[in-house]
Amino acid sequence: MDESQLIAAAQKGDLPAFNQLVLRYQNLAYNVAYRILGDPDLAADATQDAFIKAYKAIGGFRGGAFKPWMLRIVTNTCYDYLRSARRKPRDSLDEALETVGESSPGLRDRGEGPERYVERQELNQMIQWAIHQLNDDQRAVVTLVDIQGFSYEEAADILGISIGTVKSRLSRARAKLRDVMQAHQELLPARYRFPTRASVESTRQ
Amino acid sequence: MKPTPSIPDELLSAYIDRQVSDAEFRRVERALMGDPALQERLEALQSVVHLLQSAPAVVVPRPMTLSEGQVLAAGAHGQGRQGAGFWQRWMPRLAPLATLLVAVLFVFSLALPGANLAIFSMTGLSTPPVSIVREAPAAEAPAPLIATVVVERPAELPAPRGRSLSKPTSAPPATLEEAPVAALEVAEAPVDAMAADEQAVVRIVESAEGDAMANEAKESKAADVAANPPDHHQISPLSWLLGALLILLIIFTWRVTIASRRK
Repeated sequence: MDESQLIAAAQKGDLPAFNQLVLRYQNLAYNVAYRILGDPDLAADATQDAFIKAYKAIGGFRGGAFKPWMLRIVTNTCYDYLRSARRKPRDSLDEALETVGESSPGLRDRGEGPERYVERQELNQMIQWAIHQLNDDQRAVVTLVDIQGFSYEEAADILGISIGTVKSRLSRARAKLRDVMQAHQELLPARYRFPTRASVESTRQ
Repeated sequence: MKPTPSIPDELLSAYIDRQVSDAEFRRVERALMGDPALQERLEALQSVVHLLQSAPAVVVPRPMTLSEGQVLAAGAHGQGRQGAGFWQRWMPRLAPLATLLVAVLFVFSLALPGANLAIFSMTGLSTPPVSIVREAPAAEAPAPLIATVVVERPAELPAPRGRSLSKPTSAPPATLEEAPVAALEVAEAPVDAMAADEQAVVRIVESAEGDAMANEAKESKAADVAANPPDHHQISPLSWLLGALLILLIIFTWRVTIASRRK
């Protein structure tokens, strides 16, 4: 069955058909949730909640692209988790955010050697630590555009904001990340370290 | 690193993604030509983007597929799924109750055949139960006999050839044969004693005739019963209907129960 048929079946209450959609999008949804929340367990819970919300709301889905619709639910669920955690004095999310970069979820096995795997682990932890220096809105835009590769239009659709807002948030986020990473270059794997002015000039020449 | 005033970070960031107009693109290109600081800013932003694009994908730690239990715990399915959610939630409870109700009705229909008529009349079904059809002729047998009882009169009285016990009619006689009876009734009116005697005789004769006919009916019924003994084990159509419905409901309840336990 293609996606539209699965959606139509899910709208009639066909849970197995909806689960086919879940299997198609669970990795994408989980990766988005993990980057926004920063904790593997919380991200898994948020992803599961998002799919439950999506199943309950799919009757109201009026066609169009399913992926942005699904991801909007995922990002909104992540925002709910972040807001809920901030209302509590000491919460598992706070603890999770404190340890961002220390814990790392399973990375995709590419059949690589142990050295390459360790490098990827370090890179992942560094990125996760860096994007948690951003505010929630900036982190969501960076996650969608730079990490997941969505266009400005798609990101605007998912987040329910204008393209201009996407541009400005992304610009501020990248500028902040640039400053953060330049200040902690030693934490980056060699090939990802930032160019110095001398290296830029030599490249231009 | 201070941004070059003429090219803000937002424009530079959009330039990396080619999300700028042609005019903006040419403007950034011209500025980059002779501005190493701007070049460095651009390289740094590009490094950030490159780094983020290199972020390794993480593997979902567990399947995110939903079970019926999760869906039920979270509430009914939305929109067109609300009805489905309602049935998914209530069917495991309603099906056994419906089965029990039909089972009771089925037993009732078997135990009390008379109930079939009441139920048939309520449901509008025209076909009476088979057992009732078989008994009907015997029950109706006396009726035509009573209707043809003939009054025997004393010898001194001019006896009419025949008279119905049905209510006398005031309508004029339709045939010549009925005329004497009408004349007799007119002549009898003033003679009370004679009328009383006549009524007594009529009652006696009726009683005797009634007994004889009742006996005759009983014998007829007995003969009928002997020839066609009433089948008390015969199942009415309603019972068949309820039985079939009961079987279907039992299967349905069994499947619903199994499905709900799996969930």
